[in-house]
Amino acid sequence: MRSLAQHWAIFRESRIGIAGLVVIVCFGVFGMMWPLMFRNVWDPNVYHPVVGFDPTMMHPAAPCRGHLLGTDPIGRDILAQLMFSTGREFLLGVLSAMISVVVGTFIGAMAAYYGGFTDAFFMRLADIVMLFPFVPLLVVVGSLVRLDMFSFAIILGFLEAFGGITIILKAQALQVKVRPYIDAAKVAGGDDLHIIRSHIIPNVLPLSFLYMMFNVTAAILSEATLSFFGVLNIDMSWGMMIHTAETAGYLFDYGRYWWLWLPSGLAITLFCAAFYMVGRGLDEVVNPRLRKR
Amino acid sequence: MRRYVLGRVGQLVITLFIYIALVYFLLQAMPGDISMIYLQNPRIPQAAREELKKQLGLDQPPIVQFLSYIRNFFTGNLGVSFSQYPRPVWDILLERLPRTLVLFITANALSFYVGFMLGRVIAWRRGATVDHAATVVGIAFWTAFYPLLSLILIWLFAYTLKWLPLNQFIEPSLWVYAPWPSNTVFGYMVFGIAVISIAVFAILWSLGRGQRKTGRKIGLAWALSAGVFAAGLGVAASAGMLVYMWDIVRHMVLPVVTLTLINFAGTMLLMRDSMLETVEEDYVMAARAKGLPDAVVRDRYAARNALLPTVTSLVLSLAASMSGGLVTETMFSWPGLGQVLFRSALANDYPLATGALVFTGIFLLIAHFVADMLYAALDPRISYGGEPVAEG
Amino acid sequence: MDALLKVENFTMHYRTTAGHVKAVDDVTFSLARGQSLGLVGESGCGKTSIAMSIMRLLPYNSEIKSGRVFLGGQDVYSMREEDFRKLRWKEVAMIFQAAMNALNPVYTVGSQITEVILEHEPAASERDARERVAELFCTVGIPEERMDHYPHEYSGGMKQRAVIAMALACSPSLIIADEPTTALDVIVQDKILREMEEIRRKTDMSMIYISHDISVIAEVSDVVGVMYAGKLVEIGPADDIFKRPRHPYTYGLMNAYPSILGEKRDLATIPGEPPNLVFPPEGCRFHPRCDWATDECGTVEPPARYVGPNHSVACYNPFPAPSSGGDRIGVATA
Ligand SMILES: Nc1ncnc2c1ncn2[C@@H]1O[C@H](COP(=O)(O)OP(=O)(O)O)[C@@H](O)[C@H]1O
Ligand SMILES: [Mg+2]
Repeated sequence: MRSLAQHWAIFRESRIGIAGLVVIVCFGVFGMMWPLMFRNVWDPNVYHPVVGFDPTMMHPAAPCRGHLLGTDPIGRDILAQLMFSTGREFLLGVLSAMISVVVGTFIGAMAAYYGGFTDAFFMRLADIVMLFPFVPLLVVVGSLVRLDMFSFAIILGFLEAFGGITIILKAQALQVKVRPYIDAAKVAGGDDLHIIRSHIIPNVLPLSFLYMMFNVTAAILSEATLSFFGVLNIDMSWGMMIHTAETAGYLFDYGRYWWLWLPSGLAITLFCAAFYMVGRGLDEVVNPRLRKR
Repeated sequence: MRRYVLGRVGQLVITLFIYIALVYFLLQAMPGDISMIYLQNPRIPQAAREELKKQLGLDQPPIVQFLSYIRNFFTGNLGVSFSQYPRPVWDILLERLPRTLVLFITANALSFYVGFMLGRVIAWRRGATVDHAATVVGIAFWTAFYPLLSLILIWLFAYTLKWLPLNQFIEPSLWVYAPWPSNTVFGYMVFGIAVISIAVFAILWSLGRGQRKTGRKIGLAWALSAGVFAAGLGVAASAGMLVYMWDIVRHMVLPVVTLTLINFAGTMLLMRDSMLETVEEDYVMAARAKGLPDAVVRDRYAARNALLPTVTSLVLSLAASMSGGLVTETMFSWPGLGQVLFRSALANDYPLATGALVFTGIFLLIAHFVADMLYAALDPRISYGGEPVAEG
Repeated sequence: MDALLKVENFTMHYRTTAGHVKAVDDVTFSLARGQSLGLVGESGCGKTSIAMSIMRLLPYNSEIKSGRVFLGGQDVYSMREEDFRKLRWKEVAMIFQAAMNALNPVYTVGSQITEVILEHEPAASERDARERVAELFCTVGIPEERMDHYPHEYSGGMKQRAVIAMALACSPSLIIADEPTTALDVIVQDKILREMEEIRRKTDMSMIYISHDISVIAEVSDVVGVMYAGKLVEIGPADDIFKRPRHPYTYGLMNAYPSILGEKRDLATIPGEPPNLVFPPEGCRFHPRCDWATDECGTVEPPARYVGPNHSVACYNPFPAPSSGGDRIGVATA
């Protein structure tokens, strides 16, 4: 196995991966500016992302000095909303991706290691889960129980975990399983859990990490879509911003009220693309044949 | 072969059963007793409630309810929608399904084709400007927020350039005096296109069989295909349906383009990665050594083999592309399954939502099956469950 | 003599992140029509690189530093790629190192052979091509009806034969066989080699056999070339080389492999490993492993010298001819 420094050296070669990383860092800085701005610069009554209101003008107001990206139909500052939501998107994406990958890695490793019934069970389960059209399903579920961001992240994480990711990680774990040192560890009397934890999982980890990036993308897109349809119990997110514009009827006056949907839409796309690009960069680390020559 | 197909069909039925059960119990397990929400909805007349309750067997234990749901399901009884009370769910879904079907198949076939072609080119010219450009553009579309992309396309092509209609399935003013309902025209249209496709496919297949491709054969194939297409158009025109069909086609363009843009990059990037692996295979080097033209080495050797894992992933991505399709339908007010699903979910129309969800699942299962068969047809190493041919 | 293939002072490097791999260094040899050349050397010494240079199929990171390759009198590297493509397989065909993977898994074996016939012989019809494949299958000993089977339905030995049939498809003047039998078991290896040699003699083709195993080469080559670390250290008539190896490395190789006749013999492997070709040793590249190296060997590269008719060796202290004393050989085995 290569060391972390070596992984990084390979990753650095990938221009796409680095570009993605830079964008993510920019979003990170952007998100961290929120508490600073809110506490020190902005008037909380005006710039609160959910209950703020600027009484000095008509809304939605086009971008101007006080509101660099304008205001939404009920008088809230778009830039403040955008900033405030960034942190939450990070939280949602990373949490759900973490769950899916940790659970997926563990199941994949177990299925590969034990084989037999465990394997068959989880693989058939994955087949079925993969058939689930998540977004429509969650729309139906969400319309019945209004999910908040946290439970949404958890549900999404588990749905992803039992699906395709298990199959991919299991295939990887299988390749590790047949290597001689696993047998050596067994002969040396290592118990199953120990072998899985200290031999199989570390070898699957780079691939897991890769899928984590892709799952962040999936999670953010799902959240945005569901928020857009207004079935989540979330007071503010990038998807909610577009939802607000839509329900207030401004979305279909396309060009005129662009600041209502373009900044948040672009933020979603850019954020997702960035994680996806990092994933592709990692792909080159994991998969030597893709490497730049 | 037969055993392989039968085995897959068997799996299909079992999976379908489990899927229905999961959807059913998932919705049952939701807090706030759906059946009560359902029955207390003010839109249902008081008198209908008691009868509905009995009809749905809501007074019985869940497992009995489930069994009767399954039985009803297979007899085509999915209950009654209450947002469109008293229209049966089955009726609504049957009306919507073909539209989603056509949208989904067209967009997926198109995006797979585009993705395959582009992936092939950029893998072959790895590291060139076109490779970087296509990768970046592809990722941008692949991770685009669907509603945003739809909005931008509508804004550009319908609102600003006015090339295409804004949304929906048809232009109502045109259809006021139409002698047929839109669904009839649509049905004929789908049927006609299916016939034409099969004919063209047969022509290409029968003329493309040999290894020697002469210019004459290719010309003949093109001419015959064009002839078949013209004949189809002629038939439609003489029946007077052509204007109406054209209207539907015009309405389809934007949703199809959006879905294609969203989906093609997945195939393209996979194809690229997969082909970067096959180009290193010995048989590709052997093909070069054989002095075959570059295009033949690329298409028949590198790309043909790279196609296999790409099709596998296509199978895995069907569900995601279905989700994207449903969202896109809603954005374009395309009256298909997706729109029904979202509207019914938001209106707490529980039988309709369940029905739509189940239908989506069935639809995906079948797509899954078709893709599997396609894969088996593409890869001669799949032994259809029989013994491999004896070793020599 | 009519030289079919001439390689003149050919030097080729691979660019890698670690530096330039000096895979082929100043290699010169020629091959007459109807002759067979055996190229031996430990793995990684540049044999495949030479084969690929002749085929003009070098990878993207290769760099030809100097030298030329003539095939049938034409300078390979001054031709247009499209023109040379048309010569491939018609003039020079190849049997690949990993024959198992040289067949495209998604097409039938027969169609992969007819494909190349149709490509290079515009006059041939599909029927002609199939008939030719049937004959070829007969020649290499595969049942004709196997034509329409896929590669995965073939056994290893059959794939090997199919690949040989494919190489014969356009009756090339030269076939390069890169480790044609390495993946097979010894008995099949031997059989296939003998068959190949028989076909070669009948058709009067030229052949380059490449192997890391000198005993494989022994039986079938007219001329033997020995490569070490990118250099052709010795080349000469096969009889000569086997009776009187001149280069210490050749001698070491002969002791390192059992003869195919199966004589029991202790294998004396050459101690040490081939050098890293990014930084090959100064002077003679073999000197760090050579028991007879002198100071001179470590400083200046030994030039190739003729030690007999058509027999040249690049060594300052080549083994003398047997008449003048075999005692040094005795030292070596002691
Ligand atoms: N594409 C390549 N890039 C870099 N180095 C290579 C490449 N191909 C071969 N080499 C190196 O060149 C040397 C000669 O390789 P090769 O010609 O394959 O030897 P042989 O066929 O005798 O085993 C080896 O050290 C090998 O590692
Ligand atoms: Mg080699």
